Amino acid sequence: MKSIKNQGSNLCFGIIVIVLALIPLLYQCGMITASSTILFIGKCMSFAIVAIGLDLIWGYTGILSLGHGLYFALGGYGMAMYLKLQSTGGAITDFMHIGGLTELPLIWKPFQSLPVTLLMVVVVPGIVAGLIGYFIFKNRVKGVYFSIISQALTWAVYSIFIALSPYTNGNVGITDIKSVFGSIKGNMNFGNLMILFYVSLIVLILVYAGAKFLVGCKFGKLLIAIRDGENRTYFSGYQVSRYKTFVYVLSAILAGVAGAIFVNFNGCITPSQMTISYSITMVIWVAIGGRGTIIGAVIGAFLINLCEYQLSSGGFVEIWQYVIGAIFCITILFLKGGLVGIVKDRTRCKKKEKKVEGRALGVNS
Amino acid sequence: MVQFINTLFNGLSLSSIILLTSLGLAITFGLMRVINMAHGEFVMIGAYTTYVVQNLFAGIFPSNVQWLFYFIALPVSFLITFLLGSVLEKLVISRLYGREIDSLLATWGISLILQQAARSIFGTQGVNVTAPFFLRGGLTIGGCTFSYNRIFILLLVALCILGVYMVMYRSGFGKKMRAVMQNRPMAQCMGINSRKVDNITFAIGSGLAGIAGCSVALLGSIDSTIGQSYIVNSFMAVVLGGVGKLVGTVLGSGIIGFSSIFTENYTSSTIAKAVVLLIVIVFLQKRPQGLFVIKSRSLDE
Repeated sequence: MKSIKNQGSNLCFGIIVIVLALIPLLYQCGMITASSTILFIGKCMSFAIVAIGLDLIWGYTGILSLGHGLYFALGGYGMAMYLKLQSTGGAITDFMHIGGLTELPLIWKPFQSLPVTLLMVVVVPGIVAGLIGYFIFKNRVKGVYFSIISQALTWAVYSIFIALSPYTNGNVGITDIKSVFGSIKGNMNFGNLMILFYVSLIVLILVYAGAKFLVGCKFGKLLIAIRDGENRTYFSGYQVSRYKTFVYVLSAILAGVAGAIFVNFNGCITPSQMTISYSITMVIWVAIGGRGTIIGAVIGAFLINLCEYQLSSGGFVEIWQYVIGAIFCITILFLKGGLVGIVKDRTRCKKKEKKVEGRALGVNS
Repeated sequence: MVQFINTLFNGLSLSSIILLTSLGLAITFGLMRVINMAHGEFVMIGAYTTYVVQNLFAGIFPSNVQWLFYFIALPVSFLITFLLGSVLEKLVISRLYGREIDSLLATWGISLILQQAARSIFGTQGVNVTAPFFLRGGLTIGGCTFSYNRIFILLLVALCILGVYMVMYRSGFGKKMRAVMQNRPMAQCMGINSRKVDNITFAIGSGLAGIAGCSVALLGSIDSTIGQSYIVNSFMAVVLGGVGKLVGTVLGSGIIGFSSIFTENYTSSTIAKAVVLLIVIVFLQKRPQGLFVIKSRSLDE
């Protein structure tokens, strides 16, 4: 039974990958007319990566972070700083001029070279999350308290980012940048877009496989144990806070990588990617797709964003907010497993399901 | 000296505003363990209600009694958010007791809907409420100016705290409420209708948000994001004070408000707020339960 379930999700991911791989080819055949669609799908891939990270920490470990936008933006800004310096040739940017700076600030200097930038994209979110996670989890702050603190933290960093406009260009963010592989706009640069697209796809596949592996081994079982009975896990002799910190750092790194990919496709990064509401939007993807399953996070990220893209471009922006609010609310209230949960319930035989549920209730009360 | 008194007054004023928005949270979060992310949107509804009442008044009554609108707006805001809170509790919250994180997320969905509703009805442009004549200007004593609307908000907060205190500790309903929050099964055994108590408690918390919205409307323009700007500070005030204690919330708001204003003397106001929040987060590492702790032997508090 279990193997069939696992096979099902891998099969599903395989189909998604094949469809994604075909998209640039379809564009070349003329089946997809707008190149903006490809850019959008590229962004969706980065969203799927951050959703996987969020699912590891929320769906598996039960820690709800309302601040993953922070790490997403940290990775994004790191990448954007490199790309901006590429386009100015290492000289200082126009917004620094306006801010009154005469030479490149120290924090911008490491981003002049690509290898250091790629390292920073991983290391900076990792270190920030490591510091925060180490202290918070060591002091056994948990549940909603963690959520509220992560939310306040995101808000504080967001305000500081806006206030330090000579370094970050404030509300406008870093704009007018090309991708790592050069410009991706226009037909003659289609080759660059293809490379970027397939590199991102490979990253997504690697992240999925890695997450699947982690969840499948003993470590994954421990995460679930922490989610379902933290104190029992302590009593069994595990250093719960270390596991929590590790998975928090891991998901922050994934968010940073996702942010870096996002910038390449988006062509700019603004502090709005750092806000609380953006962070909770990420949680919405995971919740609707199905928390506690890696494939659920991927499906949620793609599905929600595709729906939003379709509706927003059709002039249904107003309705979209109502729809997403209502769907999210209903998912939380009635469908704990999200979309994947519905499919799972269908395939499982009902009798067994009832039995398991009854036993779980007995333990809780 | 004059500057010091001004700083002190500004601190008191900011604390009172934070306290007003977090008082309702202290009840819903502290007593009921429900994280109401839509609380900020209830503040927004209160503010918009004030705006609507003002416009209705302008259409019906002569201009010399215009100032009365504010005193009508206060109870109307309370009532509307009270009823909305009651409905929300019935439809959503009552299914989520004991699932704190889920209550947070579900109410976020609600807040998305409410924000969009505000945008659909009132537009994205901010609207303004003109303060009644007696709240314009300020009181000047020895070079210090105390603006009337801030003094008024201070009085309003004092009144609200007194009201909440009376309801919680000096009334029959408050007794039932505390009984249900402390030991639900035992309270039910004594014949208390716990579902009804839950409903009214949540509604009171929401109603307080409405009053907060009414006073926030005096301070600046109203738009659909007005609630979001207060909610982070309010949550931190409740957590800092210690969940479940009203005194804690008062102290928590005071600390956040005063330290924000004092830090503002050295840097810009946004950075000051951010720095204060970071300091509070560091402090919470030292005392994760907040300033006032309810002693409990249970493991999973």
